[in-house]
Amino acid sequence: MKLGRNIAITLICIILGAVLAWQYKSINYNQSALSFQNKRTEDLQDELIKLQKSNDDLSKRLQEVQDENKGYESAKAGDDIAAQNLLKELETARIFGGLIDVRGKGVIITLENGIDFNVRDDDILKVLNELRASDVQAMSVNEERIVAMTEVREAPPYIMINGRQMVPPFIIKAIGDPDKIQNSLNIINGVVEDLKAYINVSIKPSDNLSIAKVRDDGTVIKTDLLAPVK
Amino acid sequence: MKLKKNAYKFTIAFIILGIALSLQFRSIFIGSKQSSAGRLDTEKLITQIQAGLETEKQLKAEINQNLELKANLIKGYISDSQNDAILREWDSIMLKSNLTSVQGPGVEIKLDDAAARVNEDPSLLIIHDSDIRLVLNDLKKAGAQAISINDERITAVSEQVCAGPTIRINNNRYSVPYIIKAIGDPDKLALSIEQSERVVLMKKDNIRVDVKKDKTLIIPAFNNVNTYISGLEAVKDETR
Repeated sequence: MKLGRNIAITLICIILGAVLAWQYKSINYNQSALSFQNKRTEDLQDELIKLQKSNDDLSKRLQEVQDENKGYESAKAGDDIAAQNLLKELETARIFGGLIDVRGKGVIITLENGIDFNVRDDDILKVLNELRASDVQAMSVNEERIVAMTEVREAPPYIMINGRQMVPPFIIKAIGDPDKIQNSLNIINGVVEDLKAYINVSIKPSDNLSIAKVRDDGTVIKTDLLAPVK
Repeated sequence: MKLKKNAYKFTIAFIILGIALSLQFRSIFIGSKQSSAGRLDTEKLITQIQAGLETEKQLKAEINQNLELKANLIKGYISDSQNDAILREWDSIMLKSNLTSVQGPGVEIKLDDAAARVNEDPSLLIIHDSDIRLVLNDLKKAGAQAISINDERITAVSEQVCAGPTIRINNNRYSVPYIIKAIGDPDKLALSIEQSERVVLMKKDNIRVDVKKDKTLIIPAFNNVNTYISGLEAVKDETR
C-alpha cells in the first residue's frame, strides 16, 4: 500500500515537473518570437520612413525640373534669364565632372606607410568610397582630381592615379560636410579603425579647401568610344 | 484515516498542476494573439513599402522624361541663339561629366551570389561592396570610358556600400544580380576581368561571374546632379 502510494506521488511529481519545464520553455519561446517580430516590424518601419523621405525628395526634384523646363520653353534667343540658367547648368556640370576648380569646407586625410606595411591601392579606394558614401562633392588625391573613371593602380614603389606616379604620403582632400565625413570615417569598425591597424591615418577638418580641376588633356577623360544617345 | 491523508496530498499536487496548466494556456494564448497582431502590422507595412517603391519608380521615370525634355529644350534654345561655340561646349561638357547617355562597344559583366550551400560561412557566398569596388577599379585601369551598375551611372562621387543584403549605389539600393556595363576596348576589358585577382578569388567561392562582349552597349546618364552639387563654390578663375 505504502509502495503504491509512493509510486503514485512520484509519477504526479514527474508530470508536474515536466509540465512546469514545458511551460517555462513555452513562455521563453513566445517572448523571443515576439521580440523577433518586433525587430522585423521596426526594420520595416525604418525602411518605410526612408522610402517616404526619398520619395518626397524625388517629388521636389521633379517639380524643380518641370519649373526649369517652363523657363526654357518660354525662353527666346537673347533672353537673359535663360542664358544665365544655361551658364549655371554648365557650371554645375563642370563641377560634377571635375572640369573646374572648386572651393569649400571639407576634410584632409593623410595616409602614410606604417612600420611594416605600405599604403595599398585598396586602402585609397576604401577611403574614397567611404567619402562618397558620406556625400562629398569633390575629391582629390595628391592634387589629382578624382573623376568618374579615375583608377588607382599599384605599381611598386609607386601608386598611379590618373596615370600619374605618386609616393606616400597620400593627401586626400574632400569637400563636403566635415562633421558627417569625420563621423562616418571614425565609426567603430569603420575604415579608419581598419586602416590604422597597419598604416598611419590622420584626419583634419578644413573650412577652406580648394580642389583643382582634372588635367583635361585627353589622357584622363577619354570619350572617343562614347557616342551620345539621342 | 490513511486515505484522507493521501487525498490531502493529492489535492495540493493537483492544485499546483492546475495553476501551472492555466498559466501555460494563458501564455500560449497571449503569445499567439500578439504575434498575429504583429503579423498584421508587418503585412500592412509590406504593402505600404511596395506602394512606396511603385511611386518611387514612377517619379524616377517622370524625372528622366523631364530631363530629356530639358536637354532638348536647352539645345533648342542654344541653336535659336545661333551660338555654335556654346552648343559644342554644352555637348562636350555634358559628355565628360557623365550627364549624357552614351553608346559604344564594351563588356557586360553579371555578378551573382553563389548558390546556397549548407555548412559553409554564408559571408563567403555573397558579393560584397569590396568586390564591386575592385572590379570597377580593374575596369578603369583597363581604360573604361563609362561604367554603370544596374543602370546607375558611375560618377566621381558614386558610392558602393553594403547595406544588408543590398548594395547602395548613387543612394539607390540594389540586390543581386549586379549587371556592370563598361564601354571601352572589349578585349582589354574582358581580359582585365579574367585576370583580376579579386575575380579569381570570387570564382573560387563559386560566385558567378559572366562576361559578355557587346558592340552596342547603352549606358544611361547620371540624372540627379542637383542633389549632389549643392552649396559648392566653383572657383571662377579658369585661367590657371
